[in-house]
Amino acid sequence: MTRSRAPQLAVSFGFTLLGLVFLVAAFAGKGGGQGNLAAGDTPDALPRILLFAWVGLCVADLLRQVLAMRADDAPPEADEPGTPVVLMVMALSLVLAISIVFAGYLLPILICLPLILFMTGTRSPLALALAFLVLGPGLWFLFHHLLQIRLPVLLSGGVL
Amino acid sequence: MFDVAFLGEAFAPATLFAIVIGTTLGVVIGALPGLGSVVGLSICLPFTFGMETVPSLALLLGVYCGSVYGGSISAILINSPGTPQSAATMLDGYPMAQRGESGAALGWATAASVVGGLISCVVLILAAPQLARFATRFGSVEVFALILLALTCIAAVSRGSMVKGLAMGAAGLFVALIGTDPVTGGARFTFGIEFLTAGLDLISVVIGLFALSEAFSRLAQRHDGAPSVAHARLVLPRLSAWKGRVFNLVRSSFIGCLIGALPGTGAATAAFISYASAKQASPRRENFGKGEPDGLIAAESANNAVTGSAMIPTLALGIPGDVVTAILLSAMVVHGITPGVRLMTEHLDVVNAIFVVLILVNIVMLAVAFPIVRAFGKLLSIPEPIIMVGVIAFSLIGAITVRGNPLDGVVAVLFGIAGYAFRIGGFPLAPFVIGLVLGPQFEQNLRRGLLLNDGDILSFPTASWISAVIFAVIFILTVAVPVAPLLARLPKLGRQSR
Amino acid sequence: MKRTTLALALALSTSAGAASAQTIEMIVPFSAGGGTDTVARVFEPGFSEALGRTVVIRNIDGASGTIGAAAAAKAAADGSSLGYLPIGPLAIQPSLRETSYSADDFAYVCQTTSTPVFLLSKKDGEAGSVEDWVARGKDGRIVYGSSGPGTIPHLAMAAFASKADLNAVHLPFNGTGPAMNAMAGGEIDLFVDTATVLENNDVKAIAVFAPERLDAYPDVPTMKEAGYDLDFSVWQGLVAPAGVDEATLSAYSEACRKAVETDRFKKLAQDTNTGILHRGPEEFAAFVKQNAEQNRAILKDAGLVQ
Repeated sequence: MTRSRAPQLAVSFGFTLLGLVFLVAAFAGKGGGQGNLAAGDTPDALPRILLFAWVGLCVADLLRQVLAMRADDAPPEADEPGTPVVLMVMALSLVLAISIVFAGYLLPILICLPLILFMTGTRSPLALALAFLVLGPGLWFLFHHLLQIRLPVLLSGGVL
Repeated sequence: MFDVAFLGEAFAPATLFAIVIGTTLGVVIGALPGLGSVVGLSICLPFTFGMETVPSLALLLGVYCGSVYGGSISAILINSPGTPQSAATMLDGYPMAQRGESGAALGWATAASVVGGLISCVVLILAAPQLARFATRFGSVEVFALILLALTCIAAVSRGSMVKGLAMGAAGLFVALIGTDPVTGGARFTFGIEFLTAGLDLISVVIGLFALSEAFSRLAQRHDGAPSVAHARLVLPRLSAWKGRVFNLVRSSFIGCLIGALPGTGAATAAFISYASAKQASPRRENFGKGEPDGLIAAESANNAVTGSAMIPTLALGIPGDVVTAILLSAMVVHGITPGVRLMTEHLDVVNAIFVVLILVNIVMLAVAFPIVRAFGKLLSIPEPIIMVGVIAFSLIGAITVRGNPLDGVVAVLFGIAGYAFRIGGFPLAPFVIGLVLGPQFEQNLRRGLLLNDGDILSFPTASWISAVIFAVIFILTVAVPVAPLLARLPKLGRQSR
Repeated sequence: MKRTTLALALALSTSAGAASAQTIEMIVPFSAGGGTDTVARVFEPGFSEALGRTVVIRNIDGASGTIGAAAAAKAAADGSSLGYLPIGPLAIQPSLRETSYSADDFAYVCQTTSTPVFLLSKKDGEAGSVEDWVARGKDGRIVYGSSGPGTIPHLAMAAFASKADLNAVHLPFNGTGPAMNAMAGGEIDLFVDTATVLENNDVKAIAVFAPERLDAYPDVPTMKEAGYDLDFSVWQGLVAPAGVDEATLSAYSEACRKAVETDRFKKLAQDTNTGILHRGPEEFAAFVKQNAEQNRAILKDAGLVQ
């Protein structure tokens, strides 16, 4: 029971840290800009209030969790962290999304989609091929050509 | 008014065809995670250039209304709102589906959507000019008060830990501020990245946070056996089941109508305000968030009621309230109809045809819902991993196409990973989205209100009778309601101690 | 329908690679259905016909059009990408915020439209002339709306306020629609926009920001007549990434001239009260430069940039 508390605490901690980074940025940077001519406009106030609320509430929550850990009761509502497979899928999805920015839509999807399908347990060649064709080139053709909603291309004006 | 020539146009074969095609397309697009009203309308816009006026408006209205409803299908069945408008539908819809009541949940959502849509048609037809004029009395201070009221539902949807829910709400509000300052025009929290000056796109973030993280989490669990939703069939609720829920339905529809008539607020806001007020009023409020039909009714009737009443400022004043009505207006312009204050007098036939079309769309929606839900259910009998990879593919396309920027795809995946982490950490996702949806309007109306009142926020409640009423309601909900039971217990405590 | 079948035929043709290389992508920096997009979509068929090539519109929305403009500036300069850009991202935003592009990153193809803007107030308001408003702005304060910081409504009013030394408060809205709602409700006193907005809403024109009175509105005085020599208009034009070769540029510019002269485009311009104004490459480039400088000076005077 106490083992599954670690990832939960890690998320809380990371979320708090992210808020802190923004909070530092809110005070270090030049913030919302040069300011309005009219009086009464305070561009920096709202972000700072919200960030204090974010960080403050998170710290309170962290304290609560640490105190609860001492009491050693079961962790409350939360998903169990998954298998390494899901980490791979997430990483691959991120790689896919980033490579679309640089290499257009079609090429990355042709490479990454079969990998994701295989990794998530689709092993039968027929299902793999069908799912790949429909979700990969099929969707691309539907949007890019039939519906004329342009997806990113590798070379402007080119087919990829 | 007694000229019925418009009926001929509204019931012309081309119009009816456009209604059926548009509504079906809208429901399907809405149901696919990642593709929402805006993408659906952009797909159809080029087709309307070659069509007659009324059929082309019928096509667009069908897509619009259909997509708002369609979002509820995937919200209920796979816990990913097809559109941001149905983020509130998920709160009670998915728990019902998990209990194996997906058919009933879809039934409640469908019935509530159709009724909400029809009520707003009636309001639109009977009271468009009056309501439009009333809506102009909502200045920045009044809208700010309304948004503040909507934010109180962050507490209402914070399942599990209230502290975590409030933290997520604050974070959502903050993330909405990233980008360009709406008053000064300066960049903030962009860390020198040009893409961020446009802010994070709401649709991409919602897709990531809900649809992608749901896909990741399903892939992680790898539970064998058929999913509980494999054979989804729509079951409309019996009449007797409506007992004690009719008032909720009507109130939620009217909330949707009012919010829809305010330019620039939108269906997601309406759904959350309605959900929060239903939770206060319902005798079954303890069940909210655990699969309570009242919650579904509140969310779905309100967001569909927006579809009709969003036309109110558009038709009565020529003011487009959002992207959707702006697209409708541009379709009118292309057909030589100048939208504006004189639209209702100069083009009464078109306006009347729009009224009839809207009613027909809502009826057709009921009819096409059955086959589409069944087809969706069939689709879900495909092995779950493939469906979830499909969700990933659609989410990426949806995120990329919404603003035409591939970087939005990266944003969606990052928020998908964050959403997965939040699930592990026990952080509720709904408060974050409420903050994100309401954030821009919250800030802009607050800032404008402060500019108008020399920075004096304490003058807001006395700015007008409307804001006085709304602030009084906020006070009752946030202070009086939680404190009253404590006060009521005080004398008892006193007696006990004696 | 025609466009789809065309695209279908195109995609299905065996020489898909070669055929698609002919496709020109026209970037519109706002979402589909907006004002710029509507004009661009009517401009596109005439342009593509005159050129004999397929042109597809790609909407890249965000940050007042600067994200789309940046994409147009960064695109390959081989003639396969164009940008249909309005005044904001071309001649205002680069002075107001840090953009990754500047006016020199474009090759100017042609200007298509130029629409003068009006000073608008609520129809039943008592103050009817520029003088009335100046008096009010000196005694008390006037509140003016805009469709966002750094838009023409903002710029024109800021210039007027600083020239006439008015006590004015700027309320930015998310587009013209919500601003018109605020005007109907009495939250803002003044707004600046085109004749479309004037025609479609319960507002009246107090003056026009043009050097001379307009033929369509002979009763509306100019700002110059009131003693404030201010000239503002919203305009759009076609640009390519800098570095496009001369032959391509002149071919595009010729096609653009033809597209502007089509009946379809003229009809849209009439329906939407848009002024057609064609300028060739050199003229357009010079105009953008001069307009951007003028806007920068106004922003400086109004204290919006250092």
